[in-house]
Amino acid sequence: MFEYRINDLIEEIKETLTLTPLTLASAQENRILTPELIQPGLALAGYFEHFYTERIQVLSKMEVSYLNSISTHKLKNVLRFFQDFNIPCLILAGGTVTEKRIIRIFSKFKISLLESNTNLDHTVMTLSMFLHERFAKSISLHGVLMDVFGVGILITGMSGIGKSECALDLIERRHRLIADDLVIAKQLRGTLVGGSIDSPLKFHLEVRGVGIINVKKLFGICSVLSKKRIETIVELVEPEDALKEDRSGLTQLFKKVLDINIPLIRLPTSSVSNIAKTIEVIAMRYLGYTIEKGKLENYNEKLIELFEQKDKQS
Amino acid sequence: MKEETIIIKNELGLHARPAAMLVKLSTSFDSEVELEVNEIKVNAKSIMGVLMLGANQGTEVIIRANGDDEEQALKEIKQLFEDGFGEK
Repeated sequence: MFEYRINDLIEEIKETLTLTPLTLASAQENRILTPELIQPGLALAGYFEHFYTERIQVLSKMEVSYLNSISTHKLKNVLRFFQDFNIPCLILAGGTVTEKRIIRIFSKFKISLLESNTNLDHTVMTLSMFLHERFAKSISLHGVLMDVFGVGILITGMSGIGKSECALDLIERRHRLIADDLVIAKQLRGTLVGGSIDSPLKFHLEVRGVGIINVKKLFGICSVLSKKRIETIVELVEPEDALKEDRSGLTQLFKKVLDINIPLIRLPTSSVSNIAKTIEVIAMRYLGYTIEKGKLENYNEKLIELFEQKDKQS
Repeated sequence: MKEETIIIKNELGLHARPAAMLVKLSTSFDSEVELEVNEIKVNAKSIMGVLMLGANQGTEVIIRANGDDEEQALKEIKQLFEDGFGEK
């Protein structure tokens, strides 16, 4: 389990949301354990049923005006509870006005209090999306992730089978590279999103016999993409391994990655002259499937129907 | 499956030259060889992954080998790390 502190959050989210600490710096060392948020509401008035203490608390105008309205003595009693609960931090939505007295008391109780620069709705939405992504289950996958006609295709297979060469073919055909060799996949809202890790080798590709090439520099900015949903896995296999495969194309295989089933296609490497072209067909078929929101076109049903008609005639 | 944890010794870390040595050695075994740094796992037979680990001096690396020659693979790869890839 990774350690995630308020200070990390402030730093990482600053481009989309400015969170300014109002209380002691030491309180910003608190750990964040869950991406979920809560508005404390009634808890401030002393009602603690169903109060999720491990969550970040976001305070709206209503809560702030309540804090402003109660006596210092009463506020201290509430904060004593908050202190016992080990709440990671409280965030004041933008536009709220907090009395200095209240900030001082929070400081005294060493409870981390931050102020957001935008309204409640935007603060909650931005924080929630950011934290869910930050806390998402993730896994490192070995393969090349490409965007082919807008479809995220992860090309996998044994080392040396030609994944990178196939990726190079696809890049030359104006498709986009997301990551070569090391794909970090995150489970987000029921989908799997792949990207590269931050490295000087981001958007590079290893081409056997040539070495490592900088795809972004050689092919331009349109040849790369920072992240992409993984929609199909294409596993390159030796032709002899593919012999036992079902050739009808009617059975759909899946591979489970984290909790998500991703369609899997096992592609023999020598049965086609150009794997990149075949992968384009796979992407097109996937698009047909998603755009028409139906099943993959089933020629076999039509074939059987035709046989039945013939039977009737004879 | 066998695994060992080592610490990177050489000053410059796992840069291009050591990575190439490691990939060459790993490829000479039939076993699958995997490296793990900070929960990120890469195939030790592929240079891009090894380089993207960004493992500098002092980094803890888990080496895993899985296959018929896993014992020998692990032994030799560990030795390569121990020797600091012939660097200081």
